[in-house]
Amino acid sequence: MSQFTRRKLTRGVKLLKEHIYTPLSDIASALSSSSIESSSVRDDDMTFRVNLWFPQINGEQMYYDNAGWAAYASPDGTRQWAVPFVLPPPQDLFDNSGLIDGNTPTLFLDEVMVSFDQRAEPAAVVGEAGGSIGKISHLAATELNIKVTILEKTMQFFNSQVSEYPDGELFSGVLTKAALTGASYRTNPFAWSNLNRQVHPYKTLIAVIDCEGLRKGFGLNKSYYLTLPSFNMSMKFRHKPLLRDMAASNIQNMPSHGGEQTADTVSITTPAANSTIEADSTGGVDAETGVLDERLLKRLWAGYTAQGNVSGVDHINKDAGFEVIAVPMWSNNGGSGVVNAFGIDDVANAGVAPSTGKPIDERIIPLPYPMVIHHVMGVWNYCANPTLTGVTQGGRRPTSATMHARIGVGLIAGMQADAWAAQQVAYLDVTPATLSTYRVDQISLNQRQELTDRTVLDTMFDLFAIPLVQDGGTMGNGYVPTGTPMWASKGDSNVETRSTAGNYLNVSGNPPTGGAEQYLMVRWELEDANGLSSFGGGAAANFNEMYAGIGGNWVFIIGKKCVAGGREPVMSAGR
Amino acid sequence: MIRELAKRLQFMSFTTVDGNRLDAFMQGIVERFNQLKPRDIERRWTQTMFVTGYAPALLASGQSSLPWLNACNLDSDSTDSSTPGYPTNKWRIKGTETPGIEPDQINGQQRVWAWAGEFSRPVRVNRLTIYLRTDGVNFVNSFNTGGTPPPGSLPNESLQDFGIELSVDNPFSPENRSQGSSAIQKVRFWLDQSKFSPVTLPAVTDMEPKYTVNVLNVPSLGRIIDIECDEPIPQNSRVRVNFVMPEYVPAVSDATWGEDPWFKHIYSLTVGVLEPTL
Repeated sequence: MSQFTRRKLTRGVKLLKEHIYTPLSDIASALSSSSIESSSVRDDDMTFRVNLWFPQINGEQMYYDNAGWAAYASPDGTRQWAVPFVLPPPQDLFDNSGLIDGNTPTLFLDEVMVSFDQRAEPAAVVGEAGGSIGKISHLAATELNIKVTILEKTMQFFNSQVSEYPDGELFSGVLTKAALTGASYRTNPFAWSNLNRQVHPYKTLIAVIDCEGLRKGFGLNKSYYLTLPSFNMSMKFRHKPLLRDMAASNIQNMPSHGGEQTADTVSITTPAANSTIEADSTGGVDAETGVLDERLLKRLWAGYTAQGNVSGVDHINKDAGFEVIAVPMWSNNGGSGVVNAFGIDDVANAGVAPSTGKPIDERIIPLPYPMVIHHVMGVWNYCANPTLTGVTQGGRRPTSATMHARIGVGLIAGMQADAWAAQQVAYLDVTPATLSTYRVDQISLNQRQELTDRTVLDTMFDLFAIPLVQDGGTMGNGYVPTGTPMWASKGDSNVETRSTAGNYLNVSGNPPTGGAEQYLMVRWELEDANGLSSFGGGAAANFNEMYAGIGGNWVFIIGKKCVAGGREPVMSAGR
Repeated sequence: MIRELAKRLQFMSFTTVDGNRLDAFMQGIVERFNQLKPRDIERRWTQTMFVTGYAPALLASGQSSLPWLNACNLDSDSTDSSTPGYPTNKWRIKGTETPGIEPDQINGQQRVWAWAGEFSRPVRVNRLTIYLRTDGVNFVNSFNTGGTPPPGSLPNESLQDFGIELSVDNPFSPENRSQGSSAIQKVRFWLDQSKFSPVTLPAVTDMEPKYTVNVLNVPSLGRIIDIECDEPIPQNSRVRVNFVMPEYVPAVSDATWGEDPWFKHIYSLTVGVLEPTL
C-alpha cells in the first residue's frame, strides 16, 4: 500500500487545497518526523552474508586411511565438511519459544557463492603431505565435483524431542569437474543468484561441502589426495529493513546520541481559502513543491556515519538489518587439521604432554561501520577422520571434568597507538559437562551412529550460545540468560561518550575503550589443569576427544547494522 | 525551478493552469515519493566482512604451507608428466615482484593467500586488512632483513617485501590473469610502518580469555596492514584479493621470514565489502 495518497482532480471539480497542499503536507510531515517508510523506497531490502572460510578442504585430512587408500576406494558418501549456524532475530524481536509473528523478520536466501584457489590453472591442488603438497595436477582435476548444500533442522532448543539430524534442504548446487577445468572459463568463483528461498529464523542451518573427488584413488588418475585451498562459501540473505536500536533498549556502550533519529524541518505553506492560485510565490504550487524537490535533490538520509555518529537529519524510519560475522577458530591445525587430545602438544602454548598450558586462537576483525551485537554463538566441532593416527573411533566430545573452553569476544581500541584497551562483549567459560546449559542444538549428518558411542567417522557439532556481558544486572533476551546488546563503532570525538557496559564479571562501568573501538577481537582458549593430552598423565580419557574437529570451530557474531556508505563526514546540518 | 520531482511540468507566473496539468503534476509528485529510487537515499549500502585466518601448529607437527601457494606456476610445480598448454598463467599476480626473489630462476618464491568472490550486483571494496600476529615465543618474526639482505636493502633493516593486490578479472578473458585489472596494489612499503603499536604495550586486563604469558597478551610485536579504500566493482565481476609473502633462499637473500614463513604468524585477514540494498 502506498504511503502517500491524493485526491484526484477530476474534470469540473473546484480546486481545493486538499488537491495540492494536503499531499504535499503529508510528504513534508513524513520527512519532518523521520517516518518515510522503507516500503516507499525501491530496492529497500537489507542484505547480509554468512561467509564461511576454510584454510583448506583437504582430502587427506578427511579420507586418509592407515590401511591404504584402496581400502576406501568405494565412497561411502558420509564424509562432508559442514558448519551449522543460526540466524536468530535481534533481541528486541527474539522469541524464546520460537514463535513467529508479524514482527519476526522474514529472511530469504538470495545467493550462494563459492570459490577456492586453483593457482589460476584448470587444475587441482595436491593436498597430500610430502614433497608434492601445493603442487598442481591437471589429471586429478578431472575428478573434482564440488557439491554445496544448505540443510535445515529443527532446533533442539525449541523442541527437545527432535533428533540431531537435518530435516530439510534449503539449497543444493554442484560445481562440476567440467566447469572447473575449462581453459578459458571456470566457475571459480561462482555464485548461484536470485535463489529466493525463504529461511526459517528459528531453525539451524547447516552449510555442507561434499567433494569425494579429493580422495586418493577415487576415480581415474588420482595418485594424490587433493585439497581446495582458501575455500570460501558465502551465503547472501535479504530481508525487509528493521528499526535500528535506540538507547531506550538499554544498549551497552551506546554513544550519547542514543541512536535517536533527528527530525528534519520541512514545512509547506498552505494558502488561505478562496485565495488566488499562485505558482512561484510563497504558498504557490511550484514554490511549495520546490521545498520537497530541494530535499530530494540533497538526498534523504538514514543510518550512521562510519564513526558511529547520527546523520544531521533522518528521513527513513527503518534503516537497519541483520549482520552476521562468521569467525573461523582453531582450523587448519597441523597435518590432520584437528586439535585433539593426541596432538595437542603441537599447538602453541599447550606445552608437552600432559599439556597443561593454555593455547589460544585469536582473530581480529575491523569495524568499518557501526553495528550492535545482539547474539554471539559458538560451534564446537568434533568431526575427525577415524583412521588418522591417534583417532581410531571418530571424534567425540571431551570428557575431562577439568577441561575448560573459554571463548571471548571483545572490542579493541589502540591499533597503531601507544595504549590499548578492550571492552568485553561476550564471554563463556564452559567445561564439557556445563556446555549443555548453553547448547541450543546438536547436529550430525551421518544417521548411522549415535552421539555418545560412534565407531566410524561422523560429523557432529554442538551449537551453543555465548552470553553477552551484562551491564550490572540488566538482562537481555536470547537463547540463554544474556546481557543487552552492545554497540560497536570506531568512533570519533563526537561519539566518545558512551553508556555503561558490563565487563566479563558483569560488573557495570564505563567502557575501557572510551568510545574508540577499532576492532572486534575473538579468542578461544583451551585448558585443562590436569592436561589436555591423553598422554603423560593428561586428563583426556582417550585421544579421540576433539577440541576442534576438521574444519575447525566457529564463533558467530550476530547483530544489527544500518545502511552505510554515503558522504563522510557529515557536513553541517547533515548535508 | 523544480529539478527533480517534475521535470516536464512546471508552474510559473503567467503560465496556464488547468485541472489536467495540476492532476498530472500531483500524480507525478506522489508517485515519486511512493517509489523513491536508490539514488534518492544517501546511504544505501550494507557492510559485509569476509573473515579469514588461522593459527598454524608448531613446525614439528607437519603443518603444511596451505593456503599459502606459489605465486608463480612453473613446470616443476606440476605433478603430471606433461600437460599441453601448461602453464596457462605462469604469473598469476601482477606487480608484486620484490628484489631477491626470482621464482622462474628457482631463486625463492612468493607465497599467495588468495581470496576470490563473484558479485552479481555492483559492490565497493572498502577494507583490506591483514594482521600478522607474532608473539616472540612460538611465532617469531621481527620483519627485518638478515645478514645477506635482498638487493637494495641493508642488513637488519625493515622489510618492504609484503604485497597486497586486488584485481578484477577481465570479463572477456576471465582466466587470463595478465588481462585482469589490478585495482589496488600496496607493495614495497616498509613493514615497520605497519607495527600494531610503535611502543611495547602493556597487557590488557579487560579482555577474557587472557594470554597467560604477558608477552603474548600484547600485540605490539606483530604487523597490521590496514587498507581503507573505496574501490567500485562492476556487477557480475570476479574479484581476487591476494596477500603475497616472500620466501627467500637464505643463501641468496635472507630475512626474518625464514625458509618457512607461513609458520611465523597467527593470521587474521579480512575483506570488507559494501553491497547495495536490494
